[in-house]
Amino acid sequence: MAEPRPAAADSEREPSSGGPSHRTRVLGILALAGLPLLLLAAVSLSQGVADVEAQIAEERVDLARAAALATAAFVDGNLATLRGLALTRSFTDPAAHADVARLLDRIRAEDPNWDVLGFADREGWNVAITGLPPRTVHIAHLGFFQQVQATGRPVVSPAFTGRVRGIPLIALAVPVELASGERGVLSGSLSLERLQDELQQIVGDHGIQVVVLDSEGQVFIHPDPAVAGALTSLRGRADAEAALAGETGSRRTVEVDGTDTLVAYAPVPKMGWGVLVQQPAAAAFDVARQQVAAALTLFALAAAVAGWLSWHLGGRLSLLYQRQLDARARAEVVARELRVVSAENEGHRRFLEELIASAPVAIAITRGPEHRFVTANPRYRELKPGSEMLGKTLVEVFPEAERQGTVERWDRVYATGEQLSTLDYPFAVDTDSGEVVRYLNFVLSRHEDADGRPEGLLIVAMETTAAVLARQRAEREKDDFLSMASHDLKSPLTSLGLAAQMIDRMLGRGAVDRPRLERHVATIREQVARASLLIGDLLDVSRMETGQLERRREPVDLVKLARAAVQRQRDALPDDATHEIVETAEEPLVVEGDEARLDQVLTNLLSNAVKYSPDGGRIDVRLGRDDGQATIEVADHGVGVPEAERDRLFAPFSRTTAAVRSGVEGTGLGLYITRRIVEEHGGTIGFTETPGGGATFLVRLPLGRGEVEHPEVGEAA
Amino acid sequence: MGQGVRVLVVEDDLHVRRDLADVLEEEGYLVDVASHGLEALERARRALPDVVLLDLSLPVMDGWAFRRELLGLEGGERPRIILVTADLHTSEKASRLGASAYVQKPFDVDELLATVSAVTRAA
Repeated sequence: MAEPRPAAADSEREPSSGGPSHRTRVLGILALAGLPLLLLAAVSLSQGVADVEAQIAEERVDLARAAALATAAFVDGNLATLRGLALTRSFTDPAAHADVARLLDRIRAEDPNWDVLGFADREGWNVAITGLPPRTVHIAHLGFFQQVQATGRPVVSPAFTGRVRGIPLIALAVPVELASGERGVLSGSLSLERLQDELQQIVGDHGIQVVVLDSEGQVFIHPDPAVAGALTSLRGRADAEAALAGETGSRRTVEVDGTDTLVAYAPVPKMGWGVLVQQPAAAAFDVARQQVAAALTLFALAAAVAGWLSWHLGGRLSLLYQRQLDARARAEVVARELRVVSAENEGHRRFLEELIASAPVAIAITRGPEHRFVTANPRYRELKPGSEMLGKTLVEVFPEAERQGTVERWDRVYATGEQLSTLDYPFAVDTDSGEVVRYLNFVLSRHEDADGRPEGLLIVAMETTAAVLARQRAEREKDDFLSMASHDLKSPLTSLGLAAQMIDRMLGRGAVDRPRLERHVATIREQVARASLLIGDLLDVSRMETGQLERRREPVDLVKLARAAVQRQRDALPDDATHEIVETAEEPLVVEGDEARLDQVLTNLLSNAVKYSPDGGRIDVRLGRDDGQATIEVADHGVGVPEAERDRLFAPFSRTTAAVRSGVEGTGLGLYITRRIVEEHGGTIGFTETPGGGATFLVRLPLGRGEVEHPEVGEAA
Repeated sequence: MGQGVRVLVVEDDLHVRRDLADVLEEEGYLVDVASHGLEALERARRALPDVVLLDLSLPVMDGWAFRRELLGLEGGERPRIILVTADLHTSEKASRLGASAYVQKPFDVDELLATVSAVTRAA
């Protein structure tokens, strides 16, 4: 009000210096100049008021939201404390219950949030309760007790008025799974004074009220203790209903006493509760109102200072806005801190639970000397599919553990605390389809309470069944290979030895039967050739298995190679053979590889085709390209491969019955070696039946680099 | 020595089969030969041998299957079996087969003849 004085003084000084007509003229000029300005200022100011009011309402909503979060964090944190307690041996072990009363008293003394703490047995009798002798209070009729007993889940009760101090309380209750299999209930009633203080801190003073409603609409936090103590119901009030319905916002409400009130509302996450942040609208918008009223007066007094005034007003508005921002920032900080502090316990527990659940190993935790499962992650539960483990003992879950000595082992670890670890421990699990042996690497260790007394066992197991079976299979395969190698090597030796002994016997008798002698000599020659072929193949296999096979990488023209192999095969055919080897090729066909080894592939396939076509016939060798790969197809019309034996066709020492029956000699290693060479060149080999009967082998090899991009460039055959 | 004793040689290697037959015949045995289990079973059906020289890895029907089928024949439990094989774990396989004796390949002819003779005498 002091600021416009100089302007007013000026306008009053004017007539004294310039006469009344001059003053009128000046006033007229001022009025003419000021009127539009005044109108403009009034409009912009009313706009400013609306903006400021919307801004304030929005800030109040933020405060309501922050208060709601703080409320949820407060309840969550205290619930986590109870849940943590409920897992300790003091509660789960009936033998430890004598000490529970002392423990509850201590917690109550340390944490003023707790009004009363109690622990009730299955029947609802308080085994311990703070401030009263044990077994004097019976709570079986209370809703939260019944609900925890029925669901086994934590419960937050609606608000109620405490009998002792007459203040509103809420009760938190969590199940205690006793080692005996019974379920107790650990409960605590929370006094809400601390929460109320904290919420008030969040909204700041300035006469703003924080009200918290439970899911039934009862007010249990209110600045007026009489309202909270009576658990006044706000059911039916639009803002309260909106908050309980999970909505966030603000509205103007006319209270019973006629007060126009600005109410911001927000739901409390997960609880079904609501928070209202309210203040009489007059007070809420007072600052803005005062400023606007003052501004209008000032404008009316002196339009000349409107510019200066609006600058001043802007400053005040921004100051106002700043104060609201500060309140929000403060609210956010407090809410965040509350959330962090109270979520810490809960967070740790959840983190551990998630870790255990998602760990790639089987983890279980048992309690007590009879090894009752309290935790078993999905991997662990896979050990006994379809069985419910939690709450059951080792023998109940795995009856087969008894006959396998597992129970004694677990008992010993429980009794001595000595960790037990095993490698590939066979454990026979009874399933619907009979006994299944599973192999486990496991570590069994004891977990103890703070005083070092055994609480239970921690089992971390890794199933190695697949690895053990694979190893056994590999060992069996190695055994089979050795057995077959020994058999096949001894066969020519047997013939050789026998032939030598037959000659010896003949000489011993002194009567040389020439045709027989010649036969024996022929046998010796044949068997030596057979043995060296076999030894050559075995050496190849052995080099392949140990990765010693020398391998070059150079461009190889398959067409040229195939033509040479076909020619060699034709030359080797006996005169009376009726085989017709036909070669068709798209040329050139260059791959990267070892020429000698690729030649071995072609020669093996070709000689097989000839050998296993004892009655002759056409043999087709087709070379081409398909899908960026070189293809080699060798098709005969011979004895073919019975369908049942096709799986083993490329395995070592595999000879088909058709091949054996046809009397063709073979080591059973040719196709195995062929497959290995093809695979080492990054290719594949497969078998199909030739239309009309016979065998067709198809080899695919990656084309050489130049081949794929410039098929016309290359070495001509 | 082996007068009148019927020996069935079941062996897929032509040379070994022929030489064994020669040697046994020289010793006076009545020798029958077969190159696989099924053929051996047909021979046994026609004339039940006293002794069978049997290899296990045989085409068409292996030694194990032959033994089972033989036991199914009337009087099929009577022939003594001598396992003649290059396989590993011969003694174990011989007892599983219910063989009276076994000879490992490559074998000494005199030793083989001694085994046949011993088994025949015991019979």
